[in-house]
Amino acid sequence: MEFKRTQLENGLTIIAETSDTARSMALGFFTRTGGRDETPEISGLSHFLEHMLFKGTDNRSPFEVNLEFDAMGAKYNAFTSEENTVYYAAVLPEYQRRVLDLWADLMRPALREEDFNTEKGVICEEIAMYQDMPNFDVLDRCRKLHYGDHPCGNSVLGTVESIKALTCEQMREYFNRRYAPDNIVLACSGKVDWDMLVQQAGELCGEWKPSSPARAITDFTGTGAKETVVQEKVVREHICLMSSAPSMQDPLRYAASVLSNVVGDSTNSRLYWALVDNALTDCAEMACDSMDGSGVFYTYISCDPQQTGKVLDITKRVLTDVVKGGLTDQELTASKNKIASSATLSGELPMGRLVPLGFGWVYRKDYIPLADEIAAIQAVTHDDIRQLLQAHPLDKPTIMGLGPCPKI
Amino acid sequence: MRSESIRIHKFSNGLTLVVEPMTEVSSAAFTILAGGGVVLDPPSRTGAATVLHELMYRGAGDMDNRMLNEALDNLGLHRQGGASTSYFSFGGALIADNLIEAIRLHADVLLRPTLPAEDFELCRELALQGLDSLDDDPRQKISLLAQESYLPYPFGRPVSGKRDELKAITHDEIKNYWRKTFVGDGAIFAAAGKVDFEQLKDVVGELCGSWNGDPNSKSEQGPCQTGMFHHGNQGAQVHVAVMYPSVAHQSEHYYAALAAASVLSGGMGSRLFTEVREKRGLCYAVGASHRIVGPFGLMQCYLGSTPDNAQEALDVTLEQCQKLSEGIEQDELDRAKVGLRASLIMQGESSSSRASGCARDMLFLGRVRSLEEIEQAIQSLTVDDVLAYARAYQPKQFSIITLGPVELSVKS
Repeated sequence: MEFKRTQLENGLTIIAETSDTARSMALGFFTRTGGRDETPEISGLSHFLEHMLFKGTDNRSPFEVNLEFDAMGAKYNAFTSEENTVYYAAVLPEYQRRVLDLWADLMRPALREEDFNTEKGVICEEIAMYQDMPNFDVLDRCRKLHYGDHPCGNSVLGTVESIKALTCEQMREYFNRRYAPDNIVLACSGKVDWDMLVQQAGELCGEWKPSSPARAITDFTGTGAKETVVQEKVVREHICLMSSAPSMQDPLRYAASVLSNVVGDSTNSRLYWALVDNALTDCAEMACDSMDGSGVFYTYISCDPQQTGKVLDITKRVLTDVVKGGLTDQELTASKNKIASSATLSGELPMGRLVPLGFGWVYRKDYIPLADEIAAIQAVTHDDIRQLLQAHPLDKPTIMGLGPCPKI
Repeated sequence: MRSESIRIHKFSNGLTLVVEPMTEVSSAAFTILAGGGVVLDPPSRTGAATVLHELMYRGAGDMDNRMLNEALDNLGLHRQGGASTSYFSFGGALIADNLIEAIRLHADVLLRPTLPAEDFELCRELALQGLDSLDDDPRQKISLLAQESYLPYPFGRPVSGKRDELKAITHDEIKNYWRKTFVGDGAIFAAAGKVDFEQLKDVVGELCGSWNGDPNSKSEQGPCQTGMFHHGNQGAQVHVAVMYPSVAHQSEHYYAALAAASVLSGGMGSRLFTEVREKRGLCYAVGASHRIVGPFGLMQCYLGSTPDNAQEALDVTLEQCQKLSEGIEQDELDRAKVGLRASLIMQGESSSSRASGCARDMLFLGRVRSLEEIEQAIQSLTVDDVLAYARAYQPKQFSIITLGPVELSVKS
């Protein structure tokens, strides 16, 4: 593995972790924009724009775009979060030039009115799809409740109303502001021809205009509010608990991944033994989502509505016990092994390395080799966990319940 | 892409070992396929397999529930597996140094599970809660409903179980079920990654040599069901599954069927995505996949669409399925082939994919196809091959299963 980096004059950063032994390569444009960069008038625009990038350019029709990806056998897609929009593809190495040619072109989309209107229908279908998934819906609502007016609580999807009200002109304005080369990282992993990559990126992206886009970074510990959304048609009670966690820039993020693993991994965690082993719930898991200057621990639980009170009491007790007593030696060791093992497994695939590589640069402008990531996890001590719990106590979470239960 | 490295050994008790060493990885993965799956659940006890699989991890050998689970977790094992239609699967992936210990623990799980009575009740309760959770996850639920409506008994039996039948299962029945169906004869043990064949042969031989019992019998095959099956709910979308016959592994048309599924639904340039979503904006999710369940090959389409759009989305989907036999462009086939080839090569980078691929090949084909063999078979496909398949298996009648606030119909 070798790390390489350069920057074009217009600010586009290009990085790669190259491997001679890989049999595929992955490539992604990491654009630092998402729900938190929107105002209420343009709620859902980042995600809608992500869809529109597949709708072609002055050089390609929407259908040509799809056909060309398929002609390379590319495994490709995009995703939008609160703060990033990532476009990626994994291909066989012989298609490196062609896939970059295509993505670089798509990154300057035509944004045609007709496609914009057709795609509105697809976005509304996507919103409807998530309405039928209360396990997703409760997380989305809890994030909003937790962050209150802080931009990290903005909905990524938006609402049917906000989407219908959007204009193509608003999208073009947002695009010009946010999709500037000084707000984008081009990252590659696997069997990469670096010299070809840099030369081609210079030719294709060198004319993009920088815009010095800004993002206000403020942390927020969360509202600690509690809310119940009653939906009679939902069968289970879906519960989400959220509390602050270290950001992507904070060295305590390694301790945070150990802590969330001990408390809420799907097997053998404290929540598992307290709630799933004894069949009080069929799912009780915790994870850490570290973001730009902020972060959240979130716990998701699905239970019989009748058991909601009992389940919440036990969950709070589990969280309080951790805050008071920390972790055991056995827990610390086992969770480090689990995390190291997952990092190793995903690190063996170019696609698995692409996202940590790209985000490392987007968030911290650094490169951490997989071995160093694993070493950092292995180095987490009880002291780190204590420090983490002091800065981010788990026991006063924001709580959202969604289901038939009248009040949680 | 190194077929010469796949090694197979059949032990005297009928257990087969398949090993594919991979260079350049530090992980190892293993997959054990055993038992009979839901098809062999006792009569009127659908879901017994799911309860049993959960229960087997709740204590084995001289370890209680917590000791066993802590031991597995200490190894950093990423567990994979579960009960499915025609087998139980166990295993996972981890750093290669810990592989042998993970295999030792699994020998206890398979051959000496304690199946404690108190945990049996909890496992059954979890299965019942799983059924409730399915009601809040219509995309998952429609697939199980579709399999049950379309496939004949016992192949359509839902892995998640049926409420009344789950409630009726007794602890003794579960213990007998394990005793009767978990036999070495016919079981498959596959490993891939940083692994050594000779070492594995010794270890698996030592641990599983005494795994005896009569092989499981095969279930009889009845005909598949066609027609419309509606399940009402108050969701925002209508979820639709469309099923029709295709071929299984042994068929001469097998690779042509994979290519046909890819023409219909391989990438975003494929027919269903283009016609239903890109041109008409009727869906977010629409697709088709080629599936093999037990001895049945089938084509399964899924779409989710709001009530105002769902009928048109279904009409267009059915039309596309019908039209496949009318003609396929060379370009479409080329895209399907390159997509299948890329998937294949990328699977070759993953120890987990290879371990499960080897295990399933051994179970269904009685041999393991190398990645080169599969690649050559795909490369040699012609438009005529795919058309011959599409004509032989042109859907005459569909099985259409809907879950949502409105019923749909089929144009005559």
